[in-house]
Amino acid sequence: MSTLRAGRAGDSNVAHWANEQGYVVKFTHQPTGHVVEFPATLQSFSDTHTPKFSEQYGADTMDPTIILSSTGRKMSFSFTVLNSSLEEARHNTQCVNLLIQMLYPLLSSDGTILGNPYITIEIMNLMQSAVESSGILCIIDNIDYDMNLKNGVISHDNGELHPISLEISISATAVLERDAISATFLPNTYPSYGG
Amino acid sequence: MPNDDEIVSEEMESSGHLERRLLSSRADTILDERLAEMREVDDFEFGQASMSEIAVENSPTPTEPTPTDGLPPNLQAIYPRLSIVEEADPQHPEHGTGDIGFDFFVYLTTFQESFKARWDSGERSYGRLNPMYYYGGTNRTAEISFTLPAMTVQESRQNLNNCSQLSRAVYGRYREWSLQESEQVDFTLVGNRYFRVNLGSLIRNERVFINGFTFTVNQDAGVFDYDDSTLNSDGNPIDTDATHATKGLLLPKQIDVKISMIFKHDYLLGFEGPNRLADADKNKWASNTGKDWPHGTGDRRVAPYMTGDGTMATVRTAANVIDASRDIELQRALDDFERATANLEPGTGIWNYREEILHSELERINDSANQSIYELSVHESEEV
Repeated sequence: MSTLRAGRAGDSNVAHWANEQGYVVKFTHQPTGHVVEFPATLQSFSDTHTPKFSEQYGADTMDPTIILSSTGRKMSFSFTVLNSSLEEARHNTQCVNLLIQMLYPLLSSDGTILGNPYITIEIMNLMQSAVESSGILCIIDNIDYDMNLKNGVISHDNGELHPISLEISISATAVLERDAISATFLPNTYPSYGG
Repeated sequence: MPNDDEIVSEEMESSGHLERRLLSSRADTILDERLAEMREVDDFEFGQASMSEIAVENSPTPTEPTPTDGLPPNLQAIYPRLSIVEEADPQHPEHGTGDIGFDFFVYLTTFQESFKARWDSGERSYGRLNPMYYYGGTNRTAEISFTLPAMTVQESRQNLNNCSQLSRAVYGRYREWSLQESEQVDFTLVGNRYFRVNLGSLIRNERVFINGFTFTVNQDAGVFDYDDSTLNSDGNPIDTDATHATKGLLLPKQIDVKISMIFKHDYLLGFEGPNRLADADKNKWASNTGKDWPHGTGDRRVAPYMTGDGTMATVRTAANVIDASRDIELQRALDDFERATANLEPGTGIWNYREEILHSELERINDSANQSIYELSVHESEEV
């Protein structure tokens, strides 16, 4: 199991400040236990809870009977990875690489899928488990890697090219958790944004 | 030992079938503009180094551009080299490699990559918290935009020529065929084109399909005008650097190109797998190359879970079997080569070169043949 922390290789003031404040975005790859953390330079965050209803109409009733069957939760957020030196850029690239690799599964000895790439995402109090002190188990649908070239690049011989500013956008679906200890099916504190 | 990016770079250097593009003073202008933009960005600290120092860190001393050495080294450190070379269909190598090739330093304006996991969710029964999720794989796509500036008429023609080639990348590959009794010739679609793409440390020798090409003439940059007043010794109008002699020809000074691509990785992606069977390799990245993926990190030591000894079990495909038969053809060609050059004088430079070719090619064929034999034996044992 490897743990990589972005922004710890150089003199990045942004990363230093974020770490000091505890502003960290943490991803844990469930099949392998690999962890990668980024300073939470969040550009956007949205969390949508969508109930799924069905409607039934009876005779002589104006309004339908609403039947809730389930509720889904989807999150999307983006954050910036900043590089202030070549060394930091390389380190951060390794961190981003691990994040991307987390979208891939654990393989068996014959190359078939052994463990699906479930990922636990923890973003301070915004994405916290209601049951334990970890993040929320998710399936990541999409990771967008967008180099902000207008902010410049850090380059090196042999075509090595790193953006000074890189935006990572993620959309994920939460896998709802069940509280095994509590008497309730869904934890009483779920969902929670802290406060 | 060279790092992974050096290896890629060497491969690109050796594929010298396309000439480099000269950006000369136009590139210097763009560079200055770019550095000015970068200096304006002051939202975060850059430490003690100035932006120009960051940009050309550890690059060779800047030299004046010359027509023979292409883009000067200091600009090579800033402008990534984009190489898109058509390759044979891995399932049908007998159809040839195609002729599309693009290999130039480009002024990159956008680089967007998307990794999309394919999850299917099944029906959720009443009251159940979560549906069943089925993972089917992860798609990798990229969109690259770059600018092709032209300082001269010749460069503008070259740019148009390159764009013509690249635009063909999104069309299928066709094959000529006819019935034996009939002389009538027809064409049939063989399939899509495969490409091998390199873009600095961002895309490293990956196989892709190109699924989008957009060509935009930047009208604001202007065009080269027609002028037939410059004549050659025979009295015919000729092109100059600033004007061209073909009436009705539009030669833009700047072209913006956008390419979309879908990656088709030809190696294992995931953790563990057949290349990581040892206990010490638990939870390590499957490809076992000891190189970072998907983006390069120069000579920085890879993270512990990425370390590897480079031993790779090839995924058995029909293409491997076809490769084996191609190796037999290559062996025959090599025998012919050996016979044809047998009368060279031993010990001379050309003789040594001949020996070098024979040795390296034979080694390659033997390795490939051994691999094919192994795979076939695995296949047979599975069938048994």
